[in-house]
Amino acid sequence: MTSYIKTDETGRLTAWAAPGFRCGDGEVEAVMPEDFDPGRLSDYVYQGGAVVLDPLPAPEEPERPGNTEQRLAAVEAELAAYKAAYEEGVREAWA
Amino acid sequence: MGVMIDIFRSLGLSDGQALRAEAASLTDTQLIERERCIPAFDPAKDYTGLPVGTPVQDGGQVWKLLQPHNAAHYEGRPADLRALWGLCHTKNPARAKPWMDALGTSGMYMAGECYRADDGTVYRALQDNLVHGAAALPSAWEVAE
Repeated sequence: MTSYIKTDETGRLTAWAAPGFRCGDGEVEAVMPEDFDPGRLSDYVYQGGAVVLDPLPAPEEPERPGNTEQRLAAVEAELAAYKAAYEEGVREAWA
Repeated sequence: MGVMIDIFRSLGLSDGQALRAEAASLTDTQLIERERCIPAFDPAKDYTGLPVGTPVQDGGQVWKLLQPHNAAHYEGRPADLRALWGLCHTKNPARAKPWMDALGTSGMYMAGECYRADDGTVYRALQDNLVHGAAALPSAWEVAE
């Protein structure tokens, strides 16, 4: 089965047209894998007239500031600030 | 975080005002249920203008004003100034406070009132006017939980 596709400069797919349709300017006709999944377009590359699956590496987990102890300390400090604010309001109510 | 601080302060203010409006009509148990809305004792505060029954928190206990006074003129805290502050007890085992000795008739445990022993056991008074805990007078107490 062939389809028309477009790629970026590295050959990674950026557009795909279902059989019988066209992609427009810059398109090429390529042999598609049997199990092609249009939902994973950027996981495919165009190589020598055929489209092959070449998954992108999984995005790295965004780095969180500090280690667990530091995060825990930050949360505790935040809760203490809320508690102090509440107590300040109570004091004001009874002033 | 600044917005949250304002929200919590407003919440404390409204909760405190609500309790202040009805504190005089509440039982000790009801006061302790709403302990978070009770201000901490302030040794520099002038309590002269506050009504009898005004509650404060101190030393892990809740106290009610017995005699309006200026705290700045007295040495000590409510636990030391028992003629000025009355000790509150609760009948809710979940809210039980540590044992506190009565002073004369002030702070005696009445039937149904609870305290939490050092080992965490909560005892409920089976009779009025108790001045001894379960260790000294086990027949007068039952384990509440």
